[in-house]
Amino acid sequence: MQRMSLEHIRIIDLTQAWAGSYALQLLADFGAEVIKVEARSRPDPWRGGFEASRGLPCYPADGGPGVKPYNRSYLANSVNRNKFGITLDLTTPEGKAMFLDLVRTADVVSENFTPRVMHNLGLGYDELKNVQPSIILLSMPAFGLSGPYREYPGIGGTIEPMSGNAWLLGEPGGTAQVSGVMYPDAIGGLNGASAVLAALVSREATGLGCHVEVSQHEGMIAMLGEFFAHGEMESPGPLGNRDLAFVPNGIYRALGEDEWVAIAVRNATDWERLVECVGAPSLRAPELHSLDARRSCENQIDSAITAWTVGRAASDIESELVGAGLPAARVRSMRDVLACPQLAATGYLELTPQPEGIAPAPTPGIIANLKRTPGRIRMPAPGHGEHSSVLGQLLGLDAVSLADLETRGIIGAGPPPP
Amino acid sequence: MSISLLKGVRALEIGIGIKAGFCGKLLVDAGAEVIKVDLPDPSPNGEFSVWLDRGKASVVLDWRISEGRDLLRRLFETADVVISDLEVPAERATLERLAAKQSRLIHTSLTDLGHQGPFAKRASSDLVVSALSGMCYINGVAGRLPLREPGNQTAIVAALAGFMGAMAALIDRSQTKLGQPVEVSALEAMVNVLSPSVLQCSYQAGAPFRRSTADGFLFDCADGKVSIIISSQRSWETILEVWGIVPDPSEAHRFTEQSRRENMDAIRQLFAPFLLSKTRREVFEDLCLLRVPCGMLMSPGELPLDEHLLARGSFDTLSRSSPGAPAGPYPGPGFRVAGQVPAAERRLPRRGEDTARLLAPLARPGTLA
Repeated sequence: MQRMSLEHIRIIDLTQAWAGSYALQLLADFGAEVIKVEARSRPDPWRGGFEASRGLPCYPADGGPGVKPYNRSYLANSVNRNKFGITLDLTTPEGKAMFLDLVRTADVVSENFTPRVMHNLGLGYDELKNVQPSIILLSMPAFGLSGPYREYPGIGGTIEPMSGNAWLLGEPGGTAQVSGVMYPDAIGGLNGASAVLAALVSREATGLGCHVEVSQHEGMIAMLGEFFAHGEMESPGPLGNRDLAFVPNGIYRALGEDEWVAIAVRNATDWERLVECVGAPSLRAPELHSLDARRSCENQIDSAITAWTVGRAASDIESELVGAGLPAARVRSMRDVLACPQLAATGYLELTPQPEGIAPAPTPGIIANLKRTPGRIRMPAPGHGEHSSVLGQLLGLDAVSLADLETRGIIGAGPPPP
Repeated sequence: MSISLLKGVRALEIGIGIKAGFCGKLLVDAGAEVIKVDLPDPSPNGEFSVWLDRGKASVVLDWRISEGRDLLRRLFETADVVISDLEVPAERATLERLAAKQSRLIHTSLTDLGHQGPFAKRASSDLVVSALSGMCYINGVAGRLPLREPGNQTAIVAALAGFMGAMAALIDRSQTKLGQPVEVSALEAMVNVLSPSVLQCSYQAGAPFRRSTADGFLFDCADGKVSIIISSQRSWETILEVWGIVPDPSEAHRFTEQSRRENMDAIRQLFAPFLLSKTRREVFEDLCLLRVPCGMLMSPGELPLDEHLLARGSFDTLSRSSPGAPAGPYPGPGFRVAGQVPAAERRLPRRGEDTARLLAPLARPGTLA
């Protein structure tokens, strides 16, 4: 078996929902041993609760919530693969002591609570450093560890409007929108994994750990840097699919219900190729070779392109434009993505086992392909408290001790006993 | 004591686009020395230079000719990481050959659609990657225009993936003394970002789709809009109690935990009398203090003046030694060492200004551009 880059790294992970869990999944994918620690009495909210969730439609169509709904949520199961799962009651002295014993064996601890939570638990960076001097702590509060909003809750759907992203997302001239998924969570996850990796590089060089923080808010604002490239941002409102550098750059309606094709023109050569394909006389004016001229009549250009696309199949348009050397693609649904020939050819979507008798499902591979030490998918997302035995191995506890802890409600799987 | 995470790491950025440019920016923000190596040709991303290139050194070198290639090889000997996003296959192959000669070097190569496979040679762009990844299909209103995320966000996602790959390879190198190639496809990285939607599609036979209204969970208030996420029954009951809202019993079926998701317009009507008398900030502060997630809809132009972002030093500016470019402000990084404010002021290099300083010690006479 090939070596993985992070296989010598152990991470104790208190994060939950999307951003934090995804950050730690990315690190687990590179080979880190990640032990996800959930509260004994309150599972990760992305599990949907111990009882079948009434507000979060997260279960498989085939079989529904089942007997253990908390292990059958696609949300939790999509961002926790390659991790071990244990539970601990950190509010009890014994649970907290066991947690600190785990930290003694670890390289990294991660959490995405508001700042007061770890402080109130007595598990701030200084306390962790006392038991493991080279520990790296990743904190991922929505708004960061400082500033007036630091204790405010935040998730993707509230971070997106506050980052400027929602202001720019929407149909031109229309109303601001938020993304179809809680997208800033995913960006927070990318930043969280990046922060830990940079801190590990630093520790390899200096031997010193540190405390790194991710503000999901700032991570999302960083995605919009190009809009500040001309000085202080002016605020045009929703952009549709328009671009600062490419004209036209749009998605156009094609033949059939909800069929669309994306077309980008990067330069004058692309423009000539598009004009040849579309053939509309109005597009043949020589001055339209200039980006500024095209920008001044973008609506008319879009109308001419739509008149050409609307009666044609999106896949035919894609074939013709790609054949002409243009950036173009039929807009794919997620079902189409699962059948994408490019992803199939590189083997990027892997059929991955799922817990609780759910049929194996294709899941995305590793985010970066390290050619000598590639990451790999090793196990499905853990059930709630599935790996108590790991706790035994790490802390030298025998089966009798583990059973006793379970009886006293400090560890265990599923709903706590009444 | 100030901590610079990547102090001592030298990276070369050999790119034409936002993918390599933003990856280099991530390295600069984390403390690495980044040398941007440009061909003598005009830069295709010149207008984004103030966003991407602050804090980098700039070298101009024609490595397509043998003397330049020899200089680049020697520069590789001094580097830990090379980041590239070249599209011309012959140029990409040249870099790969040069990088392979240095056993300790990590070469992270970023593409839109992949290094191999049926789409590898297609022309591409951010919009194409967004359309192929499923992102556009999810954004927008059902039956209406699918939308990409604003700007070139698939390129930035690829850059973050490239940064992670380079860091993981550096960590491995500290154990094994060996570098390696790292490949990133923006399409694969975006599909990875959408992992929950990928699994939802298998679990729920074809979902997800675009939502039925543009407003989603945005609500009008006196001076704009706020988003309110009512993720639990407790949040719902808290809002009703604090705002003194009592739903008409005949409407109660619209406001159960199961039905609220499908009745956002009815909730908007229910909340309107209260929200329209309050400002964005009043609603935001009220609800956040009650632990109910709420966000103000803000334009990007408002952000540099926001009290929280000001307090955190979230934006930086160009130093006065960068004449001719707008001073900013520009968004800072998405992660930092806790308690440290990222560099508040960065210098924009003049194109090629570090060529002689960095290459002269490596060069044979007559080979500098």
